[in-house]
Amino acid sequence: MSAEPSTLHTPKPALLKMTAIALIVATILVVCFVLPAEFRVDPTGLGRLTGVSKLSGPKTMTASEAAAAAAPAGAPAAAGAEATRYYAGGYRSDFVDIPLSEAGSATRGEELEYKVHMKPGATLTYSWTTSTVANPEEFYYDFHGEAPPKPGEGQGTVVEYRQATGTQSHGTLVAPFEGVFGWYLQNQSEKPVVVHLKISGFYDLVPAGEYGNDAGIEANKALKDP
Amino acid sequence: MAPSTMRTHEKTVVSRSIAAVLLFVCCLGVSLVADAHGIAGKDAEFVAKNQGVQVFPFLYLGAKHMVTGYDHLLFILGVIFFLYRLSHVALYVTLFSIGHSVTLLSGVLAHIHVNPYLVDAVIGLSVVYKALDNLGAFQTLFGWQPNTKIAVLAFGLVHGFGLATKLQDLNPSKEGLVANMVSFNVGVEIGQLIALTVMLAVILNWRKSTGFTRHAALANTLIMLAGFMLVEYQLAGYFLTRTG
Repeated sequence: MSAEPSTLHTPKPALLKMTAIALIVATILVVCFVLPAEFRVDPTGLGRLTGVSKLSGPKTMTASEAAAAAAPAGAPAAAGAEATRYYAGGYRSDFVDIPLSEAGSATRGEELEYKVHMKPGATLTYSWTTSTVANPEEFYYDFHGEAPPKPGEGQGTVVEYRQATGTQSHGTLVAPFEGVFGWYLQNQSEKPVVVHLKISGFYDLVPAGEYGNDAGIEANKALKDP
Repeated sequence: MAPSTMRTHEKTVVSRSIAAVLLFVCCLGVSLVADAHGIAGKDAEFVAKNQGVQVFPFLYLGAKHMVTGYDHLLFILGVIFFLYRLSHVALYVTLFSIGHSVTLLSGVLAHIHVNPYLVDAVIGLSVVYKALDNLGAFQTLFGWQPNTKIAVLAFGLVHGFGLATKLQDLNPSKEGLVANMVSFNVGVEIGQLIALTVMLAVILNWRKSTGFTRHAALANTLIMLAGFMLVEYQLAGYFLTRTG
C-alpha cells in the first residue's frame, strides 16, 4: 500500500529561500523575545525594552552558584576548602515542632513552608526528623531559599538545594544572599505527623504570618506526636 | 505554480502572510508563557500530590496536554497536510500514536529519563522535517525521499519520550502508576483526535479554495519557522539551564 502523501514540488531556489527565511526569522524571534522571556538572556536589550524579560520568573540559582555567591569576596571559586567563619554575635539555637495533617485533609494542612531569615554568609546547622510516617516515600520536602524582589527590580531570587522524599534530614547551610531559607514540607501519608526541627547558628526566626513563615509556626513550643 | 500567477496575488499573499505570522507569534508567545514546559502549575501540583488510581483526572491531563501542546499539534498538522484520504490520515495518526504510546509507557515503567530540552528540540526538528517534506525538499535537494511512514513512527517514539520524561519529572506516586499512565495515554489519544478533527475540518475547506497550493507553500514555511523556533528555544534551554 502506497500511502506516501503527495507533496508540493517547490523549485530549488524558492525552497532554499523559504528555508533560509524561516531559519533567520525564527532565530531573530528567539533571540529578541524568547530568550529574554524564558531565560533572562537578553543580548539585544529588546527584552527589557519591551518588558517581556519580566516574564522569566525569579532567578533560580543552582546549589553550586549559590556556594560561589556565598564565598567571601576575593576567595577562589572552590571555596569549599574554607574551614572557618567568624561572626560578631547572634548565635542561637531553637527547636521547632511543625504539625502537618494527614494527606488530603480538607484544610490542606498536609503541606506548609517553614523558613528562617539569614544574612549573606551566615551559617546554620539543622536536623529534623518526623514521627509517624512509616514509609519514607510518603514524606516530601524541598529545601530551598529565596529573596523577595527588591523594589524596582521585579524579580526575586530562588536557590534550590534539595527536593526529595524521606523522614529525616540533617545538614548545614551557608546563605548565599539575604533571604529566607528552609523547607517546603508535604505529608503524603494517611496519618498526621509532627516534624521535629532543631536549628543552631546565625539566623533569625521569622515571626508568625510573615514572609517565610506564612503558616504561623511558633518555635520552641513542644508538640506531642499524634 | 507559474511565476506570473504568483505575482498577481503577491500583494494579498504578503499581507496575509504578515497577518498569519503576527497571529502565530502571538499564539506561540501566549502558549510559551502558559505552558512553558509541559504540565505546569496547578496540574503539576495535582500529579505530585495525588496517590492511587485517578483515571479521569489523568485522562483529562493527557487530553489537555495534547490539545495545548503546540509542538505535537504542529507535527500532526504537518503530517496530515497533504493526506487526501481518510484511511491515510488514520494510518499515519495510528503510526504516530503507536510510536508515542510505546515510549510513554515503557519510558515511565523503565524510568528512562531523557533531558526534556533535548527531547523537545528533536520534536521541534520533527516539525521542521515534516514542513520540508511537504515542500518536497528532500526530493528536490537530495534526490531522495525518506519513507514518511517510518519517519512518523520514529518521531512518534521521540514525542513519547517527551511525554514520559515530563510525567516522571512530576514524580507521580508509584501507587496506581500503571493505571494512571494508561489513563494519561488514552487522554493523549482523545486530545489528539479532538485536535485532528478540528484541523481536518479546516484543511478540507481550505483545499477547496483557489490558490491552496500557494497558501500551502506559505503555511509549510510558517510551520518550518515554528519548528526552528522550537529547536532553538529548547537548545537554549538545554545550554542555559544546565547545572554545573
